[in-house]
Amino acid sequence: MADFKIAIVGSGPGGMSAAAHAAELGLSHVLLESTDHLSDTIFKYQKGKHVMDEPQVLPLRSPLDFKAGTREDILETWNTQVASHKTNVKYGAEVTEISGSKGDFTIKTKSGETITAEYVVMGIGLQGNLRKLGVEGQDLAMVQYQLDDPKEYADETIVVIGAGDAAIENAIALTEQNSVIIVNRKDEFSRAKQGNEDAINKAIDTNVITPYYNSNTVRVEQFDEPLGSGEIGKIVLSTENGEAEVLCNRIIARLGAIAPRRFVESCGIEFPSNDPSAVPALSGQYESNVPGLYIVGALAGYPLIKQAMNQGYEVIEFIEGNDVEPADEPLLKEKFRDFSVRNNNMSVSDILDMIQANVPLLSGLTTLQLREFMLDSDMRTPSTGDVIFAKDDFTNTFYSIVDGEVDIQINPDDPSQTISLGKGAFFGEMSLISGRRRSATILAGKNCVLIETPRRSMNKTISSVESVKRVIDEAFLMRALQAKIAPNTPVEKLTPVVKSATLQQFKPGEDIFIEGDEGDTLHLVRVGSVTVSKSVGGKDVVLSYLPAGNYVGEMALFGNNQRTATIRAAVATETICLDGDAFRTLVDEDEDVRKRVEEVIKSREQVNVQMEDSDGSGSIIDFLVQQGLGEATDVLLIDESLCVRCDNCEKACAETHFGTSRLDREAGPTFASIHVPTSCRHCEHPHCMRDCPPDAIHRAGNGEVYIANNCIGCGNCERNCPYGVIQLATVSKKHRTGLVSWLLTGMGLAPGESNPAAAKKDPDAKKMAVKCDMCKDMPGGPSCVRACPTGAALRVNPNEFMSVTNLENY
Amino acid sequence: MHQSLFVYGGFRYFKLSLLLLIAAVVAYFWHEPVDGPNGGTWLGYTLGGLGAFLILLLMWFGMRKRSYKSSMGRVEGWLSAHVYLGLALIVISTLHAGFQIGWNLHTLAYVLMLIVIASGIFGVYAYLRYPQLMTENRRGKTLDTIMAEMAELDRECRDAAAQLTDDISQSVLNCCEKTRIGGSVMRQLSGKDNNCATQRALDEVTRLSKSLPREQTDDGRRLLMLLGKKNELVQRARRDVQYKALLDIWLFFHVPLSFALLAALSAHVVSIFFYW
Amino acid sequence: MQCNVSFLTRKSRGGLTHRDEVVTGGSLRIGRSTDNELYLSDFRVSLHHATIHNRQGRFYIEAESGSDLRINNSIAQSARLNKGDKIAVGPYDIEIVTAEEGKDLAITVELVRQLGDDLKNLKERSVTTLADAGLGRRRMSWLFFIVVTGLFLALPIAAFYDEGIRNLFKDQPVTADIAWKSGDFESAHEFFADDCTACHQEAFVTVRDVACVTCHTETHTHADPQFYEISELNETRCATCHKEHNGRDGLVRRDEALCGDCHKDLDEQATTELKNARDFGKDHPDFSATMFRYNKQVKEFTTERVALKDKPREQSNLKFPHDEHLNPEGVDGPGGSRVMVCADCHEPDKGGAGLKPISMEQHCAECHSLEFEPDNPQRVVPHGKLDHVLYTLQEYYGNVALQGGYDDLDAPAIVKNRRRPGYKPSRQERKLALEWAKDKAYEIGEDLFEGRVCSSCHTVTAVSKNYPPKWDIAPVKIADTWLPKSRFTHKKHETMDCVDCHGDASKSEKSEDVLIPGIDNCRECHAGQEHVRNKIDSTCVDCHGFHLAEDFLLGDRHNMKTRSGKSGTAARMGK
Repeated sequence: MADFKIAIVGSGPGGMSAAAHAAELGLSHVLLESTDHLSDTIFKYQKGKHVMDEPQVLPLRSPLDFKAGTREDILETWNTQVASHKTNVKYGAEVTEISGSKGDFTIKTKSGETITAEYVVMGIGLQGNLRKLGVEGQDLAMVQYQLDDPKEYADETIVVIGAGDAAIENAIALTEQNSVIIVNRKDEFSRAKQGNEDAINKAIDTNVITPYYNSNTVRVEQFDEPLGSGEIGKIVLSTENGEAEVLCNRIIARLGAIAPRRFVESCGIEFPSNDPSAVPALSGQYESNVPGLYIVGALAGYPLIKQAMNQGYEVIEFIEGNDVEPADEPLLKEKFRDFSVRNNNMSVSDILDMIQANVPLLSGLTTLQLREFMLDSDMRTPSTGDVIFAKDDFTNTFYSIVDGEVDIQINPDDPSQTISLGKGAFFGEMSLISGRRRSATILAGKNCVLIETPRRSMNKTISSVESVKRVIDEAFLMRALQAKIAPNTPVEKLTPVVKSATLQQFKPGEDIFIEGDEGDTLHLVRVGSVTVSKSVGGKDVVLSYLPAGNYVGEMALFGNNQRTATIRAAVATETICLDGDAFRTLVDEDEDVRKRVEEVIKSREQVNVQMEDSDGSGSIIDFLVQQGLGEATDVLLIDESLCVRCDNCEKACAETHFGTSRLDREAGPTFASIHVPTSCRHCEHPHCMRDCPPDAIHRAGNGEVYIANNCIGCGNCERNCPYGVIQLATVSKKHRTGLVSWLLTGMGLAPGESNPAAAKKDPDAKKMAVKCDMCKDMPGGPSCVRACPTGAALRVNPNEFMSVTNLENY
Repeated sequence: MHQSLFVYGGFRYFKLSLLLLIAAVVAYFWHEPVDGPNGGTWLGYTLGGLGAFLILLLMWFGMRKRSYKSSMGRVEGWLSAHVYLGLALIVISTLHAGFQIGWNLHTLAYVLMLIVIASGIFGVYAYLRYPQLMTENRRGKTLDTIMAEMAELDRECRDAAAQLTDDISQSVLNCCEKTRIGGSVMRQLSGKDNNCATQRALDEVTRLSKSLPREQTDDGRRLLMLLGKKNELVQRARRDVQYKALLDIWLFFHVPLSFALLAALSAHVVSIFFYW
Repeated sequence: MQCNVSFLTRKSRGGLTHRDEVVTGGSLRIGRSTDNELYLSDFRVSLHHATIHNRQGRFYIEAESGSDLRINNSIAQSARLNKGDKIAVGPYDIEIVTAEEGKDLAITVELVRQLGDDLKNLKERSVTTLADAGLGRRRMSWLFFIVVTGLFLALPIAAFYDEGIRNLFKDQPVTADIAWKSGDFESAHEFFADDCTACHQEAFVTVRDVACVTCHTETHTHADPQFYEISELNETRCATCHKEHNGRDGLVRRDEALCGDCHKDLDEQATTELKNARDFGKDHPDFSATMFRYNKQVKEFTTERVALKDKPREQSNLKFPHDEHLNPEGVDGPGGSRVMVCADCHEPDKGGAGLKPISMEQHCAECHSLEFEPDNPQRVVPHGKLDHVLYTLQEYYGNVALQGGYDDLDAPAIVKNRRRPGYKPSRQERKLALEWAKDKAYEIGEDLFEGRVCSSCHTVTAVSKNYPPKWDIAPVKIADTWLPKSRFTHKKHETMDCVDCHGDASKSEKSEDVLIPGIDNCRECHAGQEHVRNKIDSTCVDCHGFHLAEDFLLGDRHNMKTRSGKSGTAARMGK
């Protein structure tokens, strides 16, 4: 007889809600929490952080309340309600092992205690456990593993351990009021983001922070009473030159967390892919491949608090054997309404089945994943001839054809030339993967039914469902080949080439191949962009810049096994590497393909020649590429030969954005007279989008990447942007400068001047990330350019700008 | 591709101004008033009205430049118009006055206008000349970074001089504590500082280091090298300030005088009709 | 000696840490150089700053040359050290404290004056923008704006309305509104020009004639309203034509438009016999001579205008054939024959505009003598006074008769016979003589009037034949100028010969001929306003005046206006 019917591991929103519901139903249960408080993840949010309750549409079903509000309020409510439901919580119980099977699970905790239960609900989230020092004294009061508010401490000697971004940011933040020492196991901070690395190195050079390199912690001691000089303890380090004792008041160790995956797998749970963002495959009832072992919350792929709480509730119901309809049922009903009305009121589940039946791509998804997928997606039933998206749009949603067909215009000059895709096919993967404009216009065919899926959830699906990834990659390959090389070649002829293809990743600046190398593979740039350079007179001269969608190495196809130029990745780049032989056969068989390739070669030759004798332009390309224009879609440049340093661009920017300028004119490098100010480049694959909790960063139709109002000011994007163009600012919509009064009296705010004090007072003011949005709401376009009195400021699309002709007449 | 404000819109405003000019000149010579050309004839009033309108329009640039939400043309266009129409104004107003000048308000307004335009012309010159020089002078740095480097060099200088004689250390100390960039308006514009602490330190140390004991000559050489480097930076920083000052200085005449002009103009108009 | 040195460092939270060391040596040298016993690294310390000596257990400090030392806040070169003394060495404070057992001396060293942040200080020292250097656009703008507005707008207006302010400028070289003066004045007006209000009497109202009339009361208006009923005539302001502030001599308009504007179609505007005229060169009627008609009944002259082309004939009652007098063969005269020229009779008058009047005595008498008694050619009858003529004759012959000896057959003896001296004629005889004299006078008179003399130039009519006889001579009136409505001066034409214009004179047999040239003659040299090659630009005012009214003066007009409102026309009707 097990100790409990249900053991719930992890007191996150999911687990907590599950436990509370179990308590409500009077089931025997235990909630195991490794820390001494509930919901550690949210507990660790910075003080006063505003927590969102996305998706608002989703109804909450849980014994615990949850409304958007400050971290404190929410935690307060939960603590009281958990208590009031007489939930059985076991703090400090860090689970190290789960074994056994349905009806008889054994759970071991770190403290060596074992608990048995019939069912296990796992809600441990993705954050994992903070890595500790793992030495004597690691749990002393003076040792902490996170930093809520650097302002809390003043005039202390603080030792920060770690070389990651977190450690560096903490260390630098602390220097304001304290003397800081940083301990790094290696001899450099290369692991950190460029910005942070520079910052810490500067701080060290200017003796603001004392570093200990190649040093490991030996032990921590705390004194019985503070020294005269105030230190309350010391940390002993082993350094290259022997042991060192550092007197200090506080030790902050930021050693990252142990991802829970290994632990989860140790419990027998399988992950579909090795992609770090992959989540375990679950049944419609959140049951993992281990019967009786359920997973809820972020670990189940539901990062949002409300979803997790709902799952907590549902999972208990499921264990109890009642098949509750999922909370998202009404939402899906709503989504499908039109469709089901037209198809004699098909039920949600029928529609879902129908979708999986019709769209092979999605057949690999579990019901849960599909529901999730559909929740984000839209069901579209456009009437024949509607434009689904137009060539050169910047949208990056993904479409699957549930029914009917769509027509693709293959020739922009002649709309009548179309090829059609039928039921079960999908499209839009090009932009999704390469982050570029749509490559063709697509029209709805007769009675077509589409599923439109936003970039974010599509990527999530791709990374968590192996089959989807494979299919899409192949499709991309095939279509890239068709689009770029062999439009009129029958698919079966291409298949061998496609089969031979492999995906290759390159870091920025990495060589794809080098001039003079042997090699006959052909690379089709799929993500990112590359530069073509030749060594002229011993030094590398950049000849041209090729964005994604182009291919390189074609020379090899014509017997020439020597690479004629060096191809270097301008940014993180992914290429499809085609096997030379397979391709050569294709070319030999297909006259048309041969012609096309030869065309390309000829035009390239011309450009190269042009470039080689136009000195300068090459180095400009090189320079611009180094400034990250390789991945930019629209970038602000300043022609310094015209710029009179009036800063009107900055002022304009600030004025059109409530007093915070999103551009720093003076900062940023200059080459010849081209100056690249610090301002958003609207990357193809925006780094800032990478992990945005509320998914507030979007790309608008004509390319601009902007931050929507539901930003929660977490600062992830700021950290992720390699160009430092995002800043956190308190935005007060009240911000206004009375121009006339200022002109006349100099009173009030000058143009471009912001007033933080006022912003603080404004109750509606909101701390959020701000960046260039290309003034997408302004009629006249970007105000920086419109406000430039001398025409020095220009916005360019690198693809066009970095063409030799342009640079010639630049 | 971008274009400078002079060629903006295919010389749109240049052409417009030229048109105005020709029209004005032709009218002027075609029209022979009985009492000789003067502001009081119908043509006089017309040109006067046109001139006044232009002046107001040109002065409105100050507003337009700062009303960033306005989508009424690009500021570049406005500046282009500002420049060309401003030049046209010289002729138009001269014809308006019918070359009559005297010691009176009316000529005051005229002269003020000429000065304002003249300062504007210098502005154009500055805008054409200095940006390029500024960029070349900066070598991709900003004034702040240059100053930061200077401060950095100060520290190194002190280290280098730590064990050297007291008079050397004294002049190094002066160099660290007295060197300044820019200063009074004149000093900014000249880009010079006649008793530049760094320069002095460099000279003195050069002199003093000759008599250093053998074992210190290395330090001495290093110190000299550092001071030289700093001096170079100081010069560059000063030149940067100078260029910026030259880019801006004219505005400090252009704007206030145009307000003087505005006053004179309104007085002129009122007086004309007051004593009709 | 042995000395305890403890280096103090303060923590921001008031904590104090110290690093202690013991230095030994004969004396304690303090300085930046590493060879000092007490080595103070800060740059502001001299290499060798000072030395502490131990003299029999007493400690003295001495500054090295050139480095300054403060002992208890007073500069000193050397001093004896007691416990508690504070010595400032550059940025450091050194304090003497109680030495523990076995040590000779104990001091604490603390860096109290930290070297500031170079960058921060550098930036504080530097001024890198003009704005920071104290230039301000807004300030200057306001300053200029206010000054200019005050001086050139506010002040003049204030002065205009406020007596007091105006008086401030009394007898000053400048007036409050001097700056508004837009140009030089007609010299005639300069003497009152300082007072703008003399003309500009009301703000925002164009200068009205009231102002002009203060002086120009007596100036004639353009035309007499009773003849012309054109309202514009007397309502146009003086200033419309007379524009001030255009230089010392800018006031009089000479252009065609001045007259042309109205006269180009005068007939449409008024009932008048004046012909339309616009431009002398192009559009000007032929001249009409104004000349005399003689009315025999009433014996009076009337004038009449006749266009020259209609061959006007003047009735001056004088007989004068220009052809005879200008006969190139010459004219017989007392001094024999001589050739006459125009100038013999037509002399320019003073100023040379016109010609002197012709007088009988001066110009004609030489040939046309009025003698009557061949025996006595000196005696002549007076010219012009008819009845005197007979008296003169009677008186003359009376004397002749009484002296006697006059050779005349049918004269009585008393007249014929010589007298013996002392012979006293009887009353009878005297009676006879005078009777004869009377008859003789009448006979001679008849001969003068009707025969030889008068009638050659004058029209003589015998009023009564019977005694005493009576004659009448028609009055003579010669036009001074035939074109009274224009100004013509011969002086300006001196360079030409008379015949150039008056060529007909030599052919003219009668004095009726009006011997002036027509407009075409003038146009040979005179063009209109618009210049014609080789011709003189001439506008209306070259020949015609503007202020031509005979008896209507500006003064009247102004009074009249003030009397009966603005409408001049109405007023004129009433007049």
